[in-house]
Amino acid sequence: MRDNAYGAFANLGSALAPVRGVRLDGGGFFASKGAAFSLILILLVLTVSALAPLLMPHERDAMNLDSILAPPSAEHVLGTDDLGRDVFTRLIYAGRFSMLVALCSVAIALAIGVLLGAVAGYFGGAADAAIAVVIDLFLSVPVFLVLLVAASAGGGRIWIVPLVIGGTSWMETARVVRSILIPLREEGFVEAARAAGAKDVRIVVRHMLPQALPAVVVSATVGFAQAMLVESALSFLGFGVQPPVPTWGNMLQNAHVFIGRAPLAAIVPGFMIFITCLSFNYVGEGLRRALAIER
Amino acid sequence: MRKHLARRLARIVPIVVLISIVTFALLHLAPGGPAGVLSGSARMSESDLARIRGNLGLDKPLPVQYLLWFKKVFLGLDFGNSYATGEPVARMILDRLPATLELMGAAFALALILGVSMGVVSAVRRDGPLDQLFSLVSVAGLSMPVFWLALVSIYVFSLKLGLLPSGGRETIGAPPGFLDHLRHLVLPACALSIGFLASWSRYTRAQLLGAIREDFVRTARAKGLSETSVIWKHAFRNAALPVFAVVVMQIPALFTGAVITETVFSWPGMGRLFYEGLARHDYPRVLGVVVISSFLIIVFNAIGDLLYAAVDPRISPGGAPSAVDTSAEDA
Repeated sequence: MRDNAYGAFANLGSALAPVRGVRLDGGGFFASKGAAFSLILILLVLTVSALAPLLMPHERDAMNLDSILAPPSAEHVLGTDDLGRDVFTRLIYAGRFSMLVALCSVAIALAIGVLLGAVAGYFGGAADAAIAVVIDLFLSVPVFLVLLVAASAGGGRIWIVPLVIGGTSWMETARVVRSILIPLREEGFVEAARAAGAKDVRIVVRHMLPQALPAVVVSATVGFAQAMLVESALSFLGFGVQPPVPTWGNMLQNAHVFIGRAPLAAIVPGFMIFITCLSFNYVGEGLRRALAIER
Repeated sequence: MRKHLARRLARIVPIVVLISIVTFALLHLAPGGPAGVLSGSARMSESDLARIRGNLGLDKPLPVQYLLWFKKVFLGLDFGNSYATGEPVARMILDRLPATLELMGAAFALALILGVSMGVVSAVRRDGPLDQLFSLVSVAGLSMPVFWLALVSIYVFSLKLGLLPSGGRETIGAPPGFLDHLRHLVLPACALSIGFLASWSRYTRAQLLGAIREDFVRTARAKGLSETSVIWKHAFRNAALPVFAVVVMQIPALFTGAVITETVFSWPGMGRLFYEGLARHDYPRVLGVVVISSFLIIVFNAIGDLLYAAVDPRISPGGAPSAVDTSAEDA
């Protein structure tokens, strides 16, 4: 059944079954405790972030210059930051923005990657060659440097950040989709669809792309962690999401200055980035195993 | 092979030119601009600003500005003068290059030695406790923000334990010494190396496991060779070159890490030069660093690609794994 790495998932339902926990085969997603635990952790972080306004007693941006860098107390569980804002409140709100930016970045990267990968894989020839050149170009430039320049050109507008991250991280997805579609061109069901008069777009979307779905899901999961790391680095350096909108990255902007006085405020946001990315990477590995995707 | 090499080399110039155009355009999109930063005070009149713009050549149309910049770079490797300090950018970069290369070199060596050793141990003791530990370490390494690791290590090793300095390249005022230098290097190099260590150990493990499954390893075992000899002389030799190719291709990513690491640790290198230049709208500086690092990156990519093709005749040149492909097979 698994002679072709992707042939085993000819239809959408069986491809996503392990994700829904419907089918639990031996090598499946929940066979790995790490992946299962990570999924729970992600859901927990998502839920708490979503409910932030209900849970948090403090205003997100409320400053109190009389209690700057205060140590943890009953009122401020994680203390306050360099402007006297409650670190715990900002931490929870930051989760929303960090994850939202990562999500949008991944969505943009997937849109570009799947589109270009599908065009290259389905049409081949000149289109394939042209797209290969573009992919090569993006893989051979100092993406992070250009990304920093682009983000600074954006002047701190929040929607620039996912645009810039997504626009520079679609190459892996494009490669994967292309490599899956190329052998499918010769398959009987594609020939049949073509003989039945189906248009190119319909053949690709209805018949070929579903086969690439498992690989795209994995690539999106791992991509989420990567996008979050890039956003946090951008925001940390001051070129990403700008305060007062908090993200886990920009909460650390002045951390090296005050880490001696308020270590928790400097350590906890980074820890949130770390465990969230770790969880997404574990879920990605679990999915790869469960969906039997070889790379 | 020679044809492929020529093609790759011929592509370097157009790619670097393209990157410089994109960077140039993006820089001029940014609000504010260098004249605003230079003026600094509110007392600067509109005519002063206009004169500064004129002196810097910022009053000319953008394409003209770019072509003037390009001409100087192309004819004399002259990257212009920094808007902020007036120094020639080429000299600034050359001054900072040793510090950057030192940091990258140390991080590279650390990641290579530890990463490959971890990968070999993981593959040989597959699914054993060490393999599981190392796989945890490598996933953790890939999930960790570099700047956060840097902050935490400063907190623990400098502030709490007082073992190592928290930044800089040498103690100011103290007589320069090798040991002092080394103590400053430890934390930044470790922080910078973690991501590479993580991905190289995974890649080594996957390659070595692949090699161990090959027929020639079975033959070597069947001949009764010792396990050490089988692993090192037969399997590892076959795994080493593709690993090396990927390692070479990832050297450029050290530049990314260096921007962050140098900023956190106040390391006087090219990364920090770039970061400060960007923050101060110092266009010549930013352009210079981007162009020079792009050039280095493309050269390294080409070397990695060629090495990979040279090692494995089954692979046509250009088909080498991408620098981002660090997957480890689970099979």
